[in-house]
Amino acid sequence: MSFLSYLRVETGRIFRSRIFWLAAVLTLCAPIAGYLFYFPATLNHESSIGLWIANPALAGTFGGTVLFALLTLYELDRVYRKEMASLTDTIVSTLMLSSSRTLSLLLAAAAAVVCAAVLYLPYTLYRTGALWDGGYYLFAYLGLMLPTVWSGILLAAALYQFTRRVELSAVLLTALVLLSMSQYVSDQFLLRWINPLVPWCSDYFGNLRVIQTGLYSRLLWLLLSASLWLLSLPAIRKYGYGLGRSFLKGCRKIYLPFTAFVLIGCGFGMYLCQPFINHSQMEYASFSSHPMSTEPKLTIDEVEITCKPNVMTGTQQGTATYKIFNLEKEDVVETFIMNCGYTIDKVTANGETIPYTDLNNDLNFEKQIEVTIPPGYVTLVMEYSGMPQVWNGLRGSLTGTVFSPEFISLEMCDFYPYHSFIEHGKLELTLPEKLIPISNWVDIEVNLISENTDGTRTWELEPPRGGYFGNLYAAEYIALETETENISAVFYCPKKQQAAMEEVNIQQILADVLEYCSAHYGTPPFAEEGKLRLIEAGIPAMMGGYAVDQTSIMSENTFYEKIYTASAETANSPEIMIHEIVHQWWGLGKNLYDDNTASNGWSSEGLTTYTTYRIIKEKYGEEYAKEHCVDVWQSQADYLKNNFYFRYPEYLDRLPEQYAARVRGSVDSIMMYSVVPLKILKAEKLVGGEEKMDEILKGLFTNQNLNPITYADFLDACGLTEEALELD
Amino acid sequence: MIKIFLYELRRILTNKFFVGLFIVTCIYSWQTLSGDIITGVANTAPFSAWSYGLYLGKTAPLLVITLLFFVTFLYSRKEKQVQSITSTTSFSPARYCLLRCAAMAVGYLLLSVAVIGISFFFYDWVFQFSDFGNLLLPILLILLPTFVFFLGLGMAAGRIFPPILYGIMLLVLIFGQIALPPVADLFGIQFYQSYPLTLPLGADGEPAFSVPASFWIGKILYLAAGGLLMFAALFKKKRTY
Ligand SMILES: [Zn+2]
Repeated sequence: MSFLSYLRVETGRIFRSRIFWLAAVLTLCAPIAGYLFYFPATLNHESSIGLWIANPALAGTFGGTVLFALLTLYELDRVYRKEMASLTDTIVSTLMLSSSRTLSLLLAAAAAVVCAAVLYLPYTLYRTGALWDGGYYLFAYLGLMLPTVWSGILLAAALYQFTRRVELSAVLLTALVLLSMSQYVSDQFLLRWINPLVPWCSDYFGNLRVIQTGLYSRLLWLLLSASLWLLSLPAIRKYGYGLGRSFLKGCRKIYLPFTAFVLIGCGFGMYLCQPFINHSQMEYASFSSHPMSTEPKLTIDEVEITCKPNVMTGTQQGTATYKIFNLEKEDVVETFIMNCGYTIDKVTANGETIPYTDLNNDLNFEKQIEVTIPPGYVTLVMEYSGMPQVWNGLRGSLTGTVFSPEFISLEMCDFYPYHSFIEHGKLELTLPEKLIPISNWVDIEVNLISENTDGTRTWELEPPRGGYFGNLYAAEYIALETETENISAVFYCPKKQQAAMEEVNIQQILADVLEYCSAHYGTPPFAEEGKLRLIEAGIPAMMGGYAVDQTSIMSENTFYEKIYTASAETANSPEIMIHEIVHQWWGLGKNLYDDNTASNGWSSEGLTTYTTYRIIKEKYGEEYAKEHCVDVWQSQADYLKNNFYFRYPEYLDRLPEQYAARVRGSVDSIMMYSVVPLKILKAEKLVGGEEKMDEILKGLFTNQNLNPITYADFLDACGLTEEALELD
Repeated sequence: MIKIFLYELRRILTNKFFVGLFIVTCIYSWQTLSGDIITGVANTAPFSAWSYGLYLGKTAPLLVITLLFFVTFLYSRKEKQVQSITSTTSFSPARYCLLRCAAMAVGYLLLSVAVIGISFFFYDWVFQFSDFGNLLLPILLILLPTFVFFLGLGMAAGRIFPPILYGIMLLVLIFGQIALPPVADLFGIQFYQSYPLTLPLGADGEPAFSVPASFWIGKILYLAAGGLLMFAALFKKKRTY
């Protein structure tokens, strides 16, 4: 009988088996868990893609893998027992039988996964609406779920063929599952075989890095499980021999172990040479640990960089041309730093190839390149290429410099070999035509210099001095402008988000908040001449936000900040918008911090939340503000007051540090977002009303002191004591 | 009779599967304690009876799965052959079956002791807490009904069609994740997290441990259902042999 006819028989048998239909139906149900309680992809950012595509698909991945692994054990065991009676199998037919059996299971699983993808398609289309991303949907079901289910089948079959025991194989599988889910590997995308790492999903800025790491890890586990399965084939017992003798006899078919070892080799190669995460230490090291010479032996008058991203692969190709004057009379070895993901392809000095050393000493985001520079005037050209790598310390969040079709971020200076002596820089950036670059530095000029025939456009950027380009973001941005009496603002948000922004009437909110805050507290120091730039950056680049002069950058995930106002459970709600814009004053304009922040919750969030409440009160009325802000704070504070560790702080000190940190985290957010606003509200009553409080806050805000505002500063300004503000 | 009992017990305990599940359960217990329980459940102390109830509820599915695997031994083909040999001895299959249930009970108890022992060690190590007396009620509330119900259900299912047992194991895992009303909440996972929040606080700031009638009734119903199923399974067996 040929292999194909074996396969046909086995596949037919599988599809007639009742237990297969049970496993298939349960697999089809598994994604429901992603709607109900399994939310691995929305821990940092509740995006539509995460809620309606990634979570269900990941639940399906996990459930389907477990189910089909169990089905594999059941099927193999059943057939094996039947065959025990007849010991007539020749080696060839045993191999053919086992492989056709496993292959038929793989086919059956593929059918189930495709059915799941089709089944959930209409509902997903309905829920995601305009944010639908077909590529991501295919990735989630066919790129994550299918290969993971396959790996599960191969692993289960391999374990069974080695042990010949259903229960032992099940225990070993359970151990593998628990290992993959344990906290020790939670931030390592390569080791999570059954629960792929999806730390975020972006609705507006693409998901290239998550897709790439997901596919890469799936391929790795397919290779490993396939090799284990191949190795287990010779172990199939024949003629009633034991494991060892069957295995040795089976290995005479030398191509089996050979192929297996080649695959294992490939797997380990993939593990060791993964291109996504660098090999730096996980703690952030201060810059001094990557020494750059302080005694100038040369000057670098100018650098001209051309950067050509390949957005489909997430890589770039770059050339940096430096005009250098070497002050010494001999060769000088100079150190440049660049992102660990790039490799230098060629270095020339005045047209001649010169040697260089890539130290490969990853630290933070960068590594060092040593170049030997000849004396005198030198035109140094470095050609480099590759994919920017994520810093090891961020391997769990997979954020950083990224080149993708929807979004490009050039973080800091790590997109070219950087040197701190550079006097003047110029960058030529070629981007897909819909992407518009914006620098976080307002005085970096961005000019369009050419529209190319291949659907790209070339931009030129020139910082006023030095080779530092700030952080550069490119996306399909639109500019929403708002003008009020005292201040004008422009908000760069992705075009895809425009509808959601218009729904909450973002321009009106911007105007209201700017008007309110500048009237009550004054203009933020960074909004020179009353101008403010807000840039929304994608979560592929970072989480959170920061400000540099005139510009404030918010990651898309900040629009999902849990700010404890009742209606703020949905993303993009007016409350969150107000809160994030108020941060331009409290947090970015004036920072609030205290040595005791850990215990008293004093931070920028408190005053931001309070101001948000005041604006809501003005906009929507007192009743609405009480219900949505004050009452929510109060219930949170009550909850905290009853908390065990809050009542008995001495127990917190007894906890091992890693546990204590977790407990503190949950206490802290209630302190910051609810208890402190309540205290400020109490202070407002004690000082004699809202107007009085506004005066005090204005005083604090316009104070020239650059230090953060402490709780003591606030109490002093109010003329109150700490005891007076204790809540009852 | 003691001899046969010890023989059965040894067969259960030296089984590779039991050893594996034992290790898995121990690891899972530790992770649950250091993950969910250490923060304290429903604002109570991590070593309150409430928190302890949740801990047991979270580990109970693993105990149940072990128990159900014990039951699968009863109905596996190999076992049937052994049965036909042992049934030549003087006592009835039902009595023999009861003896094996007793062996399973001891296995289940041993695993429970491990789960409880780990938690006592954890409490002593982290909180220097060793007043374990008030944890007895939650222990009783979960271990007994769970054992009787799933033993009965497992034996009944095993008699009808043994693969259902694996389906039940899966259901047990899902069962532990779904919010159920107190009557149906066998593991108490939902109950221990929400009910204490509705109670008045005592002098020490903690709600005293008390269980509403509906929860009791639920447990008794589960016990009764388990007993009935077990009886049915045993009785039917007598007729077929
Ligand atoms: Zn905030």
